[in-house]
Amino acid sequence: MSPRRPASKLKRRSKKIKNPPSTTADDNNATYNPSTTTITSGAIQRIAASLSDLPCELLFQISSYISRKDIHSCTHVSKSLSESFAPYLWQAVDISLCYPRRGWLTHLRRFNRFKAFAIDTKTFSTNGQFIQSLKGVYVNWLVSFPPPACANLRELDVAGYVYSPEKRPNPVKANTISTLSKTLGLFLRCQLKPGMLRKLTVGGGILCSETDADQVSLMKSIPDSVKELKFRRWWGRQDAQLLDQMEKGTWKPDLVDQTDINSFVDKYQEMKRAATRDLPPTPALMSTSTNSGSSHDLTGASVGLDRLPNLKKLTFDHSCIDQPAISRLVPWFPVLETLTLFDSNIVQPLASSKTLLVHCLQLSALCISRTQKEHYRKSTSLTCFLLLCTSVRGWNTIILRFLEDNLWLDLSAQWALREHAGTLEALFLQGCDTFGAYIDEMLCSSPRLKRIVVNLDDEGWPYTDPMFPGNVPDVTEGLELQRELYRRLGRLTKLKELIVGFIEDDEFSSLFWPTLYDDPSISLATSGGRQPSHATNLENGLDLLKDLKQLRRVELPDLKARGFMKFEKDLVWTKTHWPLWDNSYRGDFWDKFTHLHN
Amino acid sequence: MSAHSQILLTSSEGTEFIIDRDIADKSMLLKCMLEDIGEIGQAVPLPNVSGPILTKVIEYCTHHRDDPNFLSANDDVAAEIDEWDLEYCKVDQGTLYELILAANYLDIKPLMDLTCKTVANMIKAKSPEEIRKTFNITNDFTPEEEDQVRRENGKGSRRLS
Repeated sequence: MSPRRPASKLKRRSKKIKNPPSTTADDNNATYNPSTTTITSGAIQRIAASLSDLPCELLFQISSYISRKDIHSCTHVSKSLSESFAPYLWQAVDISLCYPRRGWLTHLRRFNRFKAFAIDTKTFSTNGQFIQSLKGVYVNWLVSFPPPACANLRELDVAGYVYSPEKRPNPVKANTISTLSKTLGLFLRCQLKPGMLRKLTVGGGILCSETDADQVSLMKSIPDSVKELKFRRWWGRQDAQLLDQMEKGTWKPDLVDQTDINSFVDKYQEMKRAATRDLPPTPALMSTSTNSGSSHDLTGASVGLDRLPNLKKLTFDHSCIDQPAISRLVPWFPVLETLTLFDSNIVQPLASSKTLLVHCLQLSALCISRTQKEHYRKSTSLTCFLLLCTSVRGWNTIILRFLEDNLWLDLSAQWALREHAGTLEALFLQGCDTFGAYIDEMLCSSPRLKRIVVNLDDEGWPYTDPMFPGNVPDVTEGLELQRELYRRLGRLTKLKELIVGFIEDDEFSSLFWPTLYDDPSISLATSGGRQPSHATNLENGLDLLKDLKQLRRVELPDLKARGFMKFEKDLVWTKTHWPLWDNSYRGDFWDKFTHLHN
Repeated sequence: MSAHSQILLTSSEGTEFIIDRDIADKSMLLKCMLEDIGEIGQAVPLPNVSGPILTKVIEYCTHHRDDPNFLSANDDVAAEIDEWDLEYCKVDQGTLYELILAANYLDIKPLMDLTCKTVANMIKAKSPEEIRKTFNITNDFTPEEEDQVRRENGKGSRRLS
């Protein structure tokens, strides 16, 4: 990466010899004699006399210890240091950070400032090759990039126009969408080295074209190597009425009658049975599906040739997706495994679920989540239920966060979750105000479960009856409930993570909650008005978890507050039965589902 | 297998060093070599490492001889360097670079981390002029070039990143 310069090296070497080394090293030599050493006092040949003579990989290690500001200073020191350190400075570029975060500045101003410091100075033509991650670029700017720039991109995040109830699209902007799509397509096709790009994030509706032909050509321009595709702030552009309803809060998901849902569920079960018999779903079965008769459906046009062969993860972030959009996109993702919705809606959930069921046979991880603040974007129980019925293989990861409260009282959702008990390996439930014995039962009947994270708000678990929060069972009855639960949990011998408790923040990164309970002096009466419960200790049923040999992390209500593990016998027991248990264990499993709001 | 067996090493000038096997094992290079070919009783030549540097390396390995966390000792980027290590690194720059190279060659990760961290600490929170002074580097930019670098990496990247 940074070519060595023999001439300058020689110059420095001779300079170095003029400066005699300090005596510290010699002192050490004199006083230190580990074994029989004989040091000849020959002239020491300097191999590396200067910082810039160190090989790249060592400079890379050094650069990992200093801040970007320091790296930046290094590039100003001399030519060779500039050559060595500039790549590290340019690895990750986020242009949106150049601007003060006062809402959205006008694109025009952004563009002008961008031109002023980046394009005019031809920065990208010299340093663009080092950029691996480029974020915060407005799609229009891509035209201005000199052709070889950014050829080595692994991650690209481009912004388009924002559609949202707050920012109504005006008709002129809507017309430019296709131009923007073409710009993006051209950039992806011509600028990038093939096989490099892994992650593509697009804002606005620029990955969805007006006509089918444009859409096909746009999708074709996405490199085969892309593994992750993310849509941000994409609001169905065609329906002003819909946006209006969203704004006023009168929006309802499409009204489908129970027979439609029933026939969908029947079809799902049929496909799932076919899959579990290890027979791939037959084409005949697939073609019988009614794809809601949409004229936007691309399956006919693409005839199985146009596919993104590596795309495993699809994310919608702050988006509102309609069925035509889904049916244009989904046929391109035959190996899709992970579907994620953050603060997003699917407008026609039944038709969209049908499309997913037919085209994405590899789906195995589902994450539906919303932040607490944005109520008008909540996913409904119905969407959730229908999406739960789209995995032919059965979900192995399910994450549901801050959904509608009544989801857990909805019998159909319970049924849908139980359908996956056989395949489920990781379950994350958070912000579900009411959940109860049926969740306990489901947790305990999934033999493959490796990770459980269940947040409960104020109610104790499992001692109170969730259907009637005021109904506290008497002492012996509560104890028996608790034991029964641990008995069931004790059968999940594959468990690595068992986290049940109060999660303070709504971001995954801070889901770890021990701070509140670390201090045993906090009395239970003050810790959030929870129901009185039985101590979580060996006598009260914890010893029933003795067969969980894989456990690395355990968080249970009151486990620490009541002083478990502070007693010698608890520690001995833990060491014997949970050999892998580690107080500081933080797996990175959930990290890939984390989401930072932009 | 004896922990007490000894290994003969030869530095670039031909100086011979006799060290204990467990000290040699701190170097992944030597460890793998000794495991592969066994102890043949002949000197192991280290043409890339000079005598004084090898002495320093052996000093480091001997000090950390019984350190149970040897391999993970410096993993934490933000961790403080302990006092002995700090004193150990008080050498002239040429020696320091050679230590880095030797640690890299002999594959002694903790020593690599330590020495790279030491260099990084010398760079930290300094202006380009101060870095030049610290590392005795001449400014070989012409004024125009300097201006260009300032514009490219300065205004652009500082804000860009």
